[in-house]
Amino acid sequence: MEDIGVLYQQIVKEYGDQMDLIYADPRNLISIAAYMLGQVLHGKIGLLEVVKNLFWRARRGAVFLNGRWLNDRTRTNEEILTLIQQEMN
Amino acid sequence: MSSLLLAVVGISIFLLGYRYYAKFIAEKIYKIDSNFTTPAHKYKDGIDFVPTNRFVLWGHHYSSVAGAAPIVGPAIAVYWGWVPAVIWVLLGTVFAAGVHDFGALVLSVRNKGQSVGTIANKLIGHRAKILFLFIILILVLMVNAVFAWVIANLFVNFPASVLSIFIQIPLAIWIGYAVYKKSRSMLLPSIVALAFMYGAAVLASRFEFLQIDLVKWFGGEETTVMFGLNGVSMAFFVWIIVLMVYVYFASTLPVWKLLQPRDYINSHQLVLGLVILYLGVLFTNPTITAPAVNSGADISMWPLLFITIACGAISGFHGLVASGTSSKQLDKETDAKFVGYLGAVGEGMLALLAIIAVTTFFATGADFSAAYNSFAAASAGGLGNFIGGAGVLASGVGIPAYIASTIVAVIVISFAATSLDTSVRLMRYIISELGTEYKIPALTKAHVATSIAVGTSAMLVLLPEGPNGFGSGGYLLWPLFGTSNQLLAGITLLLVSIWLKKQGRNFMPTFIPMVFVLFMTVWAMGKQVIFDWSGAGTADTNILLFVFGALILGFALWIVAEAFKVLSQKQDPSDMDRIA
Repeated sequence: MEDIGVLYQQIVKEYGDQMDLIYADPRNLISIAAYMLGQVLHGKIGLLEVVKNLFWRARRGAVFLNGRWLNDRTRTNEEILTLIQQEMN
Repeated sequence: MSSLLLAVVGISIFLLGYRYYAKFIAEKIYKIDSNFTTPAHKYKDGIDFVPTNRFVLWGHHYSSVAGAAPIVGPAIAVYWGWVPAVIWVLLGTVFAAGVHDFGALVLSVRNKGQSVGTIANKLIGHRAKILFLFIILILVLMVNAVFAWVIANLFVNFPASVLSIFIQIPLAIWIGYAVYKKSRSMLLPSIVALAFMYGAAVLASRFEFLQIDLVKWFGGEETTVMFGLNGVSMAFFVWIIVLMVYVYFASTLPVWKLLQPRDYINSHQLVLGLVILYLGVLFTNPTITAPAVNSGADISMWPLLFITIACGAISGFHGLVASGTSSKQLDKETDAKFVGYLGAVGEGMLALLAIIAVTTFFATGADFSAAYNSFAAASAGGLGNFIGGAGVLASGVGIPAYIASTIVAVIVISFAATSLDTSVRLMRYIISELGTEYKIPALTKAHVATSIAVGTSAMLVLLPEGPNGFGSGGYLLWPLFGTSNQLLAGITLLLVSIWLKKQGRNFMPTFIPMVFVLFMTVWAMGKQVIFDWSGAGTADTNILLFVFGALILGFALWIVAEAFKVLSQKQDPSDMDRIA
């Protein structure tokens, strides 16, 4: 969890108020599902993506950007930051 | 009386309370400020201090506070009639619990996200903090004993539920391993676990050989097994020993191995259970057959009603959660109303559902009165009646009643087992803290502290003897549990009142419920200690309950005296800067 804490602080430092960061406890399935469906309504992801995210990708320390899954075990915090940067540009 | 109408009226009162009273409290009393920098922003570390969306945080907060207690208390308290129980749940939630949970959150946010125990030290003094620790120690001891008794009784009465509960343990360990060691998704394994548990419940309900029925195994009620115990008492004894051995290991394991995965499974069960049962009320609209008021009660509802329903009307445990974790994640101070007040409303809705399930379960008022013919009978059978009633409600959405009852028993036992695991763990931490405070190094060792916690809890659940002999006395502990919980709530309201006074604000909205809760609690405990347990009244002496009751009463009066001394002091303007 410390890794995700460091990533969190890096994102805050880099983007501040430009980004709406949501931190969710995995017990809170309704909130996570509501977030994913919100992204569908905003046209960011499709329903199939929601199913994949909820059932396979919502792992411990998972990071999603606009509903898209950014990290898995192979990505470092720096790589995730780069992906966010690409998305923001 | 239509149960659907009661549900609609109850939920409407909760929502009106949120819309108007919580708004008044937020704007005029707590004066919450959207520009205040919350600890989540000030100390943001991405681990404990994390600004969190209010809907998400409400979900965290509610999953942490909801358990078996808002079901057990109302299922017993309908003994005095459903009207007093409903009134206390509605008014308690709107005017006491909502203000308490919201207040604990604001108080903690204004004090760097510190817990109410640390704030008691700051506002009242070091002795208050130690007293606070002792009260929490007694509360968790009561939780251990009461929930062990609840689980053992449900195992005895609902043997079809046992297999599912035992299946849950390896499944939870598997989820912990998959999530934390293999970095797998959390949802899929926890749904698979739930499917296995409920599948086992369905099969065990249909096939008797899958039921772990120790009473039958020991030869039933008529057989004397050993130590003069019959089959039922022996089954109860064995289950208590099994539970205590389990909880010893469960509470010393790292939290990710068992406790957290169980929480994932339970969070799904909470949502599923609430949705199914409220849909059951909506589709079937069963009639409330229980009497509105029981005029022939063998024991007065004044003041016992107010400690019998603790969680669901007001609970000190919520203040520990609000100031322990939720305050560190509050994004804006204005979110405290939504998270804290609506967290209390969620518990109130669970308590209301428990009242509806029990009072609609019996075919006629006479059947209800026969089952609830004394307070002792209500205490011993209340939870079983809830499970039966909830089973009938669930049958409204197409689940056969006998399967639904087993599944509801599984849900209640799962909540109680998680509460047991958590509270034994908490008791270990408190014993260690007291060991550090009083320089007794042995108490700081995990296994020594756990042995003390488990040993005292087992003694407390096994020693009191009820009207039906060994194992039937556990319900006598429920008032002690309610008392220590209410006491904690009263003290937290007192802390909020002191803080408000130091700010020069009107503290009556917290002071009045505090006086009510503490008065009822002290009255109930005084009455029981002096007349029921000391031997001075008509009842026989019960040394164990007398000692615990007297201890709680003593701590309560002491801490209240300390707090009132602070409350009656003249306001020091320098305090306003220090505390704000």
